[in-house]
Amino acid sequence: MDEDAARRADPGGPDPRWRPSPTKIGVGILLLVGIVAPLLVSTYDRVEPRLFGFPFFYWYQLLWVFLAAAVCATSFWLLRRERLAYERRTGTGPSTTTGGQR
Amino acid sequence: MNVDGVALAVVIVLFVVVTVMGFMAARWRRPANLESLHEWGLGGKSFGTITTWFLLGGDLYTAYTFIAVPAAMWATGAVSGFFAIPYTIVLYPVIFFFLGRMWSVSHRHGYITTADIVQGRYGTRSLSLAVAVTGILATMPYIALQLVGIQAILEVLGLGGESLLARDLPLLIAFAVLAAYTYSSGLRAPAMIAVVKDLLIYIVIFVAIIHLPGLFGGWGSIFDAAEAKMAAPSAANPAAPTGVFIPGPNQHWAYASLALGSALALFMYPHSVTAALSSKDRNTGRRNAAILPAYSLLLGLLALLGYVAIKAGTQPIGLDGKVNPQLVIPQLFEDYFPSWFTGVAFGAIAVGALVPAAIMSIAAANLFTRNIYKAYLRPGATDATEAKVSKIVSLVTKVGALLFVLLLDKQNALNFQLLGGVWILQTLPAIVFGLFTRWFHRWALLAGWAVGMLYGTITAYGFCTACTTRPFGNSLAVVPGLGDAGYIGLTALALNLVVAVVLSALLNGARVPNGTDITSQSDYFADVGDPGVRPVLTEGEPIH
Repeated sequence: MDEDAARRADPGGPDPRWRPSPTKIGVGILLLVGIVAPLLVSTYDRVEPRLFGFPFFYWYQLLWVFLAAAVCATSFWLLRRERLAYERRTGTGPSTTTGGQR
Repeated sequence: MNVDGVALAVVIVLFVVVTVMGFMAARWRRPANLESLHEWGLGGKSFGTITTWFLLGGDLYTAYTFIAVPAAMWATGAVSGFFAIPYTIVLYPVIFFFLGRMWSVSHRHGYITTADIVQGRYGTRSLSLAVAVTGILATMPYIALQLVGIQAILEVLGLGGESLLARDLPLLIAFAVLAAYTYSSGLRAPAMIAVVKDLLIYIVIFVAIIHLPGLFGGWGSIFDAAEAKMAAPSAANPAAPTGVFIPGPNQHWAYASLALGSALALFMYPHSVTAALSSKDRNTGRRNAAILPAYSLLLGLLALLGYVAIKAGTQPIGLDGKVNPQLVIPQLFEDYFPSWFTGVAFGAIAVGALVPAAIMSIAAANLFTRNIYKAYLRPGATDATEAKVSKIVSLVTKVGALLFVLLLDKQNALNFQLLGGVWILQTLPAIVFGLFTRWFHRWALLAGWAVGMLYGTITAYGFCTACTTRPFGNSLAVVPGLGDAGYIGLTALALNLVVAVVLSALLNGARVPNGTDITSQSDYFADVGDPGVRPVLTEGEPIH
């Protein structure tokens, strides 16, 4: 906890949250998958199998709308968990203004 | 063509309702006064998750998008139209990376524009000026395009005539009203109107997507009709097919690079950043990244209405007797829905043009006020002066866009918007990299920006392969070293990055001073309630 103490003493100095943590790396990989996978056109440039008359090319991309939302929601949840842990540890944290939503 | 009286009446009623809302918005969570950019230009930075969702949705998925994407699908198929779906899918993981940091540092230091962020990080006025000017230039044709969207609606309604005044009067009225309530209410007006607009659009599209396919034998036969049209010889060039139903191997990069480049570019646009910064806490933007894809689904379904129109045999003939693909969706509604519902649909699209036009003009005005007027002309400007200058500049931008549409060919607005996309993408390294590292050197970023701008502009000007209108009519060009066509903006960004990395290494090695950074690491994680972050900033810390 030395670094946390150092940060409170010197607010302009290094911040432990700046450094990559396992959670942040995991979230980064998850988001990268969400960016790269929908762009790999060769994985979905075909007609079959059809779904409700939609060629694969069209319904697969619409499916990714939901997957992208799931990727972002999961990332949001993981980062929030890490942030809350940090705030508990350092005794910092939000005031009551946004307490109900967090 | 006869005027559709019922539909026109519905459009007018919707327009009046929205106008009243626009003026009333000034009183929404009314602050002591609106005379600062934080209030007028960012709505007091008070918007919660739901308001931000509507605001961003109304801002990013513009009326023009709703006209142009299905029009492109109808005319030439997937590569020019459906790429918008992967574009708006990868957009959210992309913005998730930097939106939190961007919000935090902006609120910690009272930044309003992207150029403010760059100025705070590098303390270099030329670099922030480059970002500000690029933002303003890229936004202007975007505002003009919203007017093109309204014009398409008016044309299908049958409004028009021989004289210039009769043809353009409705557009002039719409714009006068827009300008008036933006002036009086600032960002609160589009935020409030966006709610009405989005709900209307949702209703219209779901009704259309459930009702129309049944009339034409279901989705299977609709896709078959589209496939047949795309494979048929093109009218302009019989040697080539009309369009692309599913991209072939040599079109993969065109499809993917258009999607990725557009996604990277979108949150460099001033209007997107304005909407994102107006949220009340750090998490609102990221939470929205998880719920905004709902609009992408909407856009996907709407895009497919372009194929429905192929099956339906819709004839989008303009008042001048020529085929105009942009009329295809309005015409489809006019042909297959009762007049009153057509009116609702047209009203939704017309109102949908006003929301982004308002936000864009506010954002461009903020850039001018903060990063040109205050940085260069009047360093001592007070908050009230800033707000006043911004209000006037937002009027000037709108008048400029109006003149652009009235005096020049519509195709010009479209072409310059494409060019604007290439340009705005070149500001990404300066804006985003600084949020994560100070390794990049200010002069390297400036040089990279200049190289990207130059390459993008020259290529867009000269390599117009599949289009009839020069200059700047196409967004695809053969990528050097790859052989396939790709999005010009992304190729330019790659060059930009190479220059920025190489020069940064050299300049850092030579220990050339890299400007004054007034931010600290913890600024990039600040949230409401932290020391120094006021829920509403009444006075920004000076950055110049």
